[in-house]
Amino acid sequence: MKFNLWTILFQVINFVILLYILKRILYKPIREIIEKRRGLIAKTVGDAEKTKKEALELKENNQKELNKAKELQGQMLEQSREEALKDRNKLLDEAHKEAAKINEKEKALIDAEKMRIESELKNKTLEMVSVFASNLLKDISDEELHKAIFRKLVKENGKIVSDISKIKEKEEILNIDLVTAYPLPMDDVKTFKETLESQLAKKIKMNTTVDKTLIAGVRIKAYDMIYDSSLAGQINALASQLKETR
Amino acid sequence: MKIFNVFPETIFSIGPVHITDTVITTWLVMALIITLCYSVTRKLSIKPSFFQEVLEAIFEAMEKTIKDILPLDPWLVVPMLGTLWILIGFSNLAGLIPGLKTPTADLNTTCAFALISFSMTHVVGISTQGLKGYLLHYKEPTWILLPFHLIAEITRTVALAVRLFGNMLSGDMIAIILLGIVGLLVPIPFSLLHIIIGLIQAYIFGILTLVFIAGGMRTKS
Repeated sequence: MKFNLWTILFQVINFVILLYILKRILYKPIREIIEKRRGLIAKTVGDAEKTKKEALELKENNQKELNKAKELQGQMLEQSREEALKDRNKLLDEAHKEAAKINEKEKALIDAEKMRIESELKNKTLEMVSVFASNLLKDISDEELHKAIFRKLVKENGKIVSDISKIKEKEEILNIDLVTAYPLPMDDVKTFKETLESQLAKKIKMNTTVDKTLIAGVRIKAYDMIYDSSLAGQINALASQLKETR
Repeated sequence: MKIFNVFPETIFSIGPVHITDTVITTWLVMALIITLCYSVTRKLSIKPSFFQEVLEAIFEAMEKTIKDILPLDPWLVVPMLGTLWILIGFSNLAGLIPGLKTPTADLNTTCAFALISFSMTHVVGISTQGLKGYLLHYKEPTWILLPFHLIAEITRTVALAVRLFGNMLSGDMIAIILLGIVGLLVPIPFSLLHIIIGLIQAYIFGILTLVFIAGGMRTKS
């Protein structure tokens, strides 16, 4: 056993050569592959965590969206309910109005009908009253009453005279129709005629007719003016006056 | 009795250069290592095959061991330490093959490795802390210990070389002596023991180197 410097040198060189070669074919690729895998694992874990986080976020977002949608739905429901209520109220109002209108119309119709019936009733009543009055007067009137009425007329002929004198008629002869309930004595008629003639300064032609329906009194017609002092005429005047008053 | 010679012999000489069988065996071991490594690392992939998994496990264990001892980036010393481990380990087992001599049973080889370990300690120390910073670690904890530091530098290196050499040579010699005395089968258990001792010695050599490197670090804590 002796020291061999060549051997030592060779072994050192061997070591250096092996170190160089192994660095090329062993350490570098192994280190690369290990680090690559670590990087991949870290990346995968990071990705997984990211994905998880994203999923969580997505879930949260979805939940939020869902809540929002629910809220919106609730709002819409509420809105539609309100609208429906509003519509209902509107419809109800309209219906009420319509009903009121119809009611009014009906009322108006009823009123009109009522009025018509009332007036009819009134007319009937008046008619009946007049008939009754005429019948009554017919029963109680006689020639004396008739004469009294005529005399009153003759006495109060001022109105007739003034009315007739207002009409400027060229004709000399004035036609007067005298309708009487009972036949008048010729003297009375003549006196009346003469009184008128003297007051109007006109010739008067008197046409006397008898009409029992007048009950009592006379009716004078000159031109187109009628002076009715008969009882029937009075009753009719009263009836028409009553008819007008409501 | 030529076959029983456990000591190195010069096989051939080129001028003054004597090539011993130790060197030739080392070349064979290197060729084997390179072939193996090449065949395994040729097709590395993200999804590892069985061999790749084993290889990666070995390297990760190495990385972890270095990280525990050395406060540096493990990959700074992994190539050198790894090569030491691999070369010594394979060399220690080379003697099991009939006709081959264990290269590490030659004191010249172990001296070469010890020298490598020695220089590695200083190179790493200087390159990581600077020359001044590295030299300052010799005065710790006090200047009085400086001579002992220097003596230790030499003795521990010699111890490295002799420890490996002695273990390997003894293994070989025991095998040969037993073979001479009791025949073929009895040395087998000792050969198995020799495998374990070889691997342990390789590990010890690397770990000690690592510890020496770490000792060269001037830790502030």
